[in-house]
Amino acid sequence: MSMPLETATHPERLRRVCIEPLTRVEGHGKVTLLLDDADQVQQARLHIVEFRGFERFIQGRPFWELPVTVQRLCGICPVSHHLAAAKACDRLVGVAELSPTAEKVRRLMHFGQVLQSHALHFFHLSSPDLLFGFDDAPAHRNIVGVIQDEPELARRGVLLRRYGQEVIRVCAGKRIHGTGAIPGGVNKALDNADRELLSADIAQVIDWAEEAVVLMQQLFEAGGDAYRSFGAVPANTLSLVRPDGALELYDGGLRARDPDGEPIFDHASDQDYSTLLNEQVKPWSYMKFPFIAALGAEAGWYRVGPLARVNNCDYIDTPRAEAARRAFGAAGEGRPVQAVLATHWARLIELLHCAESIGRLLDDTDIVGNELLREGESGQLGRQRTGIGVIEAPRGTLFHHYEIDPDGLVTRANLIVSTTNNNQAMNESIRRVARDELDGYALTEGLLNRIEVAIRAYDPCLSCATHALGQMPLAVTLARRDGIVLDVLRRDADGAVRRGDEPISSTTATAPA
Amino acid sequence: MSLLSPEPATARAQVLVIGVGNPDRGDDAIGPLLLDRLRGALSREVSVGQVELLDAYQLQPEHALDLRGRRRSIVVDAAATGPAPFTHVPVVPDTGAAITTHSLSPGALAAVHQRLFGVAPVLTALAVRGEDFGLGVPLSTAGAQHLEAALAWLESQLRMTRAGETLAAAHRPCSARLRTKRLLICDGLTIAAKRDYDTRPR
Repeated sequence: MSMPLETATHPERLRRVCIEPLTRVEGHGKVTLLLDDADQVQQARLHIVEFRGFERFIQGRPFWELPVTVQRLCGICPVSHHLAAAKACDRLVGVAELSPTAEKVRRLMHFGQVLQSHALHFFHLSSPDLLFGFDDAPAHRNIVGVIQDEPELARRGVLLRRYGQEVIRVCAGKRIHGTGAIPGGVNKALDNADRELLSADIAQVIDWAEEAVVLMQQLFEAGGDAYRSFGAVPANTLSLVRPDGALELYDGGLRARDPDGEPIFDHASDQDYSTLLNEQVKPWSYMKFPFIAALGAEAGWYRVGPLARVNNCDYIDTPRAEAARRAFGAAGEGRPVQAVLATHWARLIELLHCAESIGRLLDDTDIVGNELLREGESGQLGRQRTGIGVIEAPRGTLFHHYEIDPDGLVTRANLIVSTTNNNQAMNESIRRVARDELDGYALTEGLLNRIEVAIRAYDPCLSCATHALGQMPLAVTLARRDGIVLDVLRRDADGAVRRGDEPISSTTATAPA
Repeated sequence: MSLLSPEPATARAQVLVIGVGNPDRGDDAIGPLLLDRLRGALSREVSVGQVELLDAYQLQPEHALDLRGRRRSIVVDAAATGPAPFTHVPVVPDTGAAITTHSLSPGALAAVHQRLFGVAPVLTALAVRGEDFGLGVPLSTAGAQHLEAALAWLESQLRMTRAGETLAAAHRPCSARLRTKRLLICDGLTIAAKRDYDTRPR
């Protein structure tokens, strides 16, 4: 796993190409391509202004507030943070095992979250790239374009989103920032009206999910070698798995495999994550680079998320998703699938699994049970000083680690979010795209699109902050090695492309003479 | 009731107000805080059944379903740029809103609604100027003042509902002074407003 483009031999001789920020990627991201005098890519780096202030923000707060507070990290997967924090708090209050009702309500909530998040990503963010092509006009290559050209597909996407949000609402009380999970359990179960509401449509949801998987498989296979090689990098994989090796999104042991699928560790306790993983700091990035400790920083980077999970598991315990997983596995010809665009395929297999799992839980009488909360031996202000909660968020493994004082106030927090886990993997995919697609090219919209498509496959979500009001959504700067800016390319919110402050007639920009 | 039908199963409040923002990020809390204030005001002055309030961290495609069947909808969001204390503009469907993050702009949301249902929603963006969006910081003094001003305007709009005036009428331009204007609000996306409206009530 060499990193030939990460560090150039003579960086002072390189020119810089910056893409800032990326479109349809949460938070602010910037890609820097360092070009040599022959316009060959020598370095490719994804800079992400990761928001680290949240860990300090929650220091000093009572731990029992955490499941609610941490949801404000993210507007896309607040439930994942909610549940990871709740799992950590279970430890703090000494509850090792939830009641069946509490665990199943939490799982139902999580399946609803993953379903709606995956639906948003495929139907509204990535399907425009796949349906219309990477070079389609930005004004069309978006959700509105999908609704125009593929109205039924888009309609299903919106309605699947709504269904997932309703699952969350009945479990957590609100569509966003609910309070369903509390330390030691949940504060409400479903009632029969909730069950009936969700049960009425689940068969249709499952059918739509399965049809989406079929569509994605067809798109991937139609893409041929171009899709198989696009941004593909051999990566280690990390995910939770069930004790029997099944795909697991809520709670399980940690499994890591190498690019050939050979085990690095398996069924490791999530409470030991800090001995299994280390985090590296690089001077050019605000975001840390986690790696598998046993392999070291250079070789130990890994991928998380749908592609890692579906590659990593031995099977999926819902029948239609398992059938889809087998077809997916065949694409790897016995080895883990490494094509970054296959992430979309894996994501929809998971969406189908979530739909099937929701149906299964709705048939389980435990979800309307009465035992909501358990107390640990140590009581509400327990003697446990450390709480670790790990969950598979839509984008990958999410770690919440808290330490508290005797009064129950947080003294230290460490959160490793999915996007951080994927940091190096995203860089590697960018490098692959840069090697294959960008070398020798000047700045054009199409070239930028390809980098974005590779990053978008990981669906990075960077600590939703404010709404980035009024910011330029896309800007490209070309600078000489001495720092003098040679070119600035901007893409406005309405899709118009301008060089500097001057509009240009074509949406395909070329480098200045 | 089916969750998979885009049409609402029952009659809805004729006005929907969506408050967008993160309560923990300074003036980004203006949207949800304004909704909290409205909840109290509605109980005193306007029938709750006439107005529905919806908290949203950010706008998403499914919010198009929430707009369906309304006489008028209003998205309240903090703005980092633009006029203070606030401005309100009718949102036109923005079919060119290609550059989005996981969230939608009001214009893109209107476009989703238009594509789904064949008509554009009557949607207003109420952009309240914020100053400080830092994590964990309180509402700024200016942000608080802007919130109060925006609240007063919004309450006046909702009182018209109570008085039986049509909100569509309230949505009409209030003066003949029309000019093209572009406002930068909400998620960094440009809403192309064809007209600039005098905010004085007629």
